[in-house]
Amino acid sequence: MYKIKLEQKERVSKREELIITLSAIGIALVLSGIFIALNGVNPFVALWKVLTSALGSSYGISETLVKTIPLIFTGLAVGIALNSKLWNIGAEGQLFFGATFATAFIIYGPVLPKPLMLTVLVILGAVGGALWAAIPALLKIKFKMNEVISTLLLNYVAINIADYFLFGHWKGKDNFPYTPIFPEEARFDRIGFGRVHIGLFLALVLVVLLYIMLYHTKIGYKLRMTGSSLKAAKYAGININKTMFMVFLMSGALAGLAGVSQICGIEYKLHQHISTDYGYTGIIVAWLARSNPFIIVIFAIFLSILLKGAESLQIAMRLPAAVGIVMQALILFAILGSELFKNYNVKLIRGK
Amino acid sequence: MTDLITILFAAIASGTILLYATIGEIITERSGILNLGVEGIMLMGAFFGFYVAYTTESLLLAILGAALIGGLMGLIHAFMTITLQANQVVSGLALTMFGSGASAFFGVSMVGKTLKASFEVIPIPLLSKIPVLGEVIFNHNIMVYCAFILPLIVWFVFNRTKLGLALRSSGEEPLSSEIMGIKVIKVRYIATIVGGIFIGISGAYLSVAYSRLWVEGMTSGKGWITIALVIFANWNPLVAYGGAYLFGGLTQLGLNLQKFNIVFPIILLKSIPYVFTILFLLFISLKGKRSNLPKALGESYFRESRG
Repeated sequence: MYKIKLEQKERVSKREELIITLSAIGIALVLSGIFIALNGVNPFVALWKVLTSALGSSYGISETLVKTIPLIFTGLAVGIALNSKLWNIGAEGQLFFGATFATAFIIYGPVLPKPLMLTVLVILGAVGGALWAAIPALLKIKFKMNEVISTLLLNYVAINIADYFLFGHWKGKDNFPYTPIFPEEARFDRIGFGRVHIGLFLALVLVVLLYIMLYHTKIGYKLRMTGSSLKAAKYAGININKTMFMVFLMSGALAGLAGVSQICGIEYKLHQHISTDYGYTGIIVAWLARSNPFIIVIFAIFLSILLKGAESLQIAMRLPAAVGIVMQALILFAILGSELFKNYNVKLIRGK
Repeated sequence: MTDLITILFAAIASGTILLYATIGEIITERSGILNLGVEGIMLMGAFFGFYVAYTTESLLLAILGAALIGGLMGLIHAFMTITLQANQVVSGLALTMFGSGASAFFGVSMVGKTLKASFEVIPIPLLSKIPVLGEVIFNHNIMVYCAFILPLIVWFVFNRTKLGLALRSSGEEPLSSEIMGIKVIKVRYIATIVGGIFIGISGAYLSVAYSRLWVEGMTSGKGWITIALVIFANWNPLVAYGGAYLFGGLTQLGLNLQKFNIVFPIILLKSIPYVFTILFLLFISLKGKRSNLPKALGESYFRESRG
C-alpha cells in the first residue's frame, strides 16, 4: 500500500511553474487524442490539422484572431470578478443581453453618423451587460445568494429574451430568427486582415486600462483586497458591498462588449449563434490566466487556436462539434490537477 | 379538474428527475464536497443510459450503465478535489463542461433514435383507485416509485447509521473527525461517487423513462436547478421531496398557463424554471434557514496539516 506524501515547497521558480503547466497541457492533448481516436480518426493527423488550420495560413491566423476578440472580452469579464473572488458564470447571458440591447437601438433608433453610432452601440452593449449582471449582484449583496448559481441560471433567461425578439418582432422577412442586416453605420471597420475588426483594438486598450486600474489605482486595490480577505478589507474600511456591486457591473459591461463586438464586428445582425460559448470559455481563459489582463490575452489566443482547430476537425474529419468543448474541459482538468505539483513536492511513500 | 390532475401527475414525473439528482448532491455535499458538475454528470447519465437502452434493449442495464458513468464522473471530481486538492468550484465547472461535451460528442449517433423498451406504468393495487391522489401518485413507473423511497433510505443512513455519522462529521469537522478515527478521505470519496451514481441515474430517468429520446444538452440547466434545490432542502433528504415535486409542480403550472387563459409569450415561458429557481433561493434567503449547511463545504482538507 502506497501513500501520497506532500511536502510544501519553499518557493516555486517561474521556470518550474511553466514546465508543469506545459506538461499539463501535454497530458490534456494526449487525453484529447484518445477521445479523437475513439471516433476512428488518427489523433496525430487531427493535432496537425488543428495547428495548420489555425496557424498555417494567413486566413487561418485571421480567423483565429476573430475568435480571440470575444474571448479577451469575456476573459476580462470573468477575470475582473475573480480578482474579487466572485464567480461570474453569466458572461454568456450578459453577452447576449448586451447584444440585444444594442440591436434594439439599431432597429428602433435613428441611424447616426458612423463614429457616433458606434460609440452609442458600444455604450449600450456595455450598459446592457452591466444591467444583466446587476441582478445577481443585488441578489448576492442583499440576499447572500450564491452568484455561481444565479449568474448561470440567468444565462438561460437572457438567451430566451433574445429568442423572444428574434422569433417575434425582429425576425427576418423570410421568417428565420435573425434581424435584418445592420446598416454600414453600425459596423465595425475591418483592419485589413481577413475578418479581424477594430474590436481587437478596443479589447487590447481595455486590457491595458484594466491592468492599470487593478494594480495601480485605489479602486483596483480595494477590488483585490476584497478578493484576498473580506475581513482585512472590512478592517481597511472598504465598503465591500459597494465594491462587489461595482465589480459585477464592470464584469457584465465587459461581457456585453463581447456581444456588441460579435454583432457589429462579425455577424452584422443578431441571431442565435453570435456566441459559440465564448462566455463559458472566458471562465477558462480567466482562471488559467490568474485573472491577469495581459496573460488573459495569451490564453485567449491559445483557446481560440483550439476553437478554430476544433472547427476544422468538425468540417474536415467529420468529428462532432463538441470535440472543442471536450478538449477545453480536459485542459482545464489537467492544469487544475497540476496546481498541486506547483506548491508541493509529491512523493509516493510506502504506507503502513 | 382533469387539467389539474394532468399537471400534478406531470409534477411528480418531472420532479423525479430533480429528486434523484438532489439526493445525490445532498449526499456529496454533506461530506463536505461541493460538486458543481451535476449538469455534466446528468448529461452523461442521460446519454449513456439511452445508448445502453437502445443497443441492449434492457432497461435495467441502462440504469446500471448510467449509474456506472455517474459514479465514474463522481470519482473524477473526488480525485481532483480530494487527492489533488483542486478548487472544488473549478473542478465542478470542468466536469460540467466535460460532461456536456463528451455526451454531445458520443451522442451524435443517438440523435433521433427511438427506444423499443419502455418503463411501463404500474398502478399500485387499491391505492391507485383513490380519486385524484391515486391517479397523481400511484400510477407511475418503477423509477418514480424508487424515487419515493430513496430519500427515506438516505435519511435513515444519515441519522441512524455509523456511516451516516461519519459522512456528516466529515462535512462539519474533518479534522476532529479524523482524530476520532473517521477516515475522512475515504468517506468523501464514497460520498462523491455515490452522489454521482444517483445524479447519473437522474439523467437516465430523463432520457430513458421521461422524454424517451436523446437530445444534445437535454438537461437544459436541471443540474444547476438541482444545486439550488439542495440549498432549498436545507441538505435534508426528506425536505428534498418537497423541493423537487413543488418545483416540478410550479414549473408545470407555469408551462400550462395558456390552459387557464393567461396570455404569456410562449418563448418566455421557457424561462420559468430558471426564474422559479432564483425565487426559491430568494425565499430561503428571506427565511434565513440554512442550518444544515456543512461547515467544511467547499474547503480542501489537508490531512498533512494534522502533523
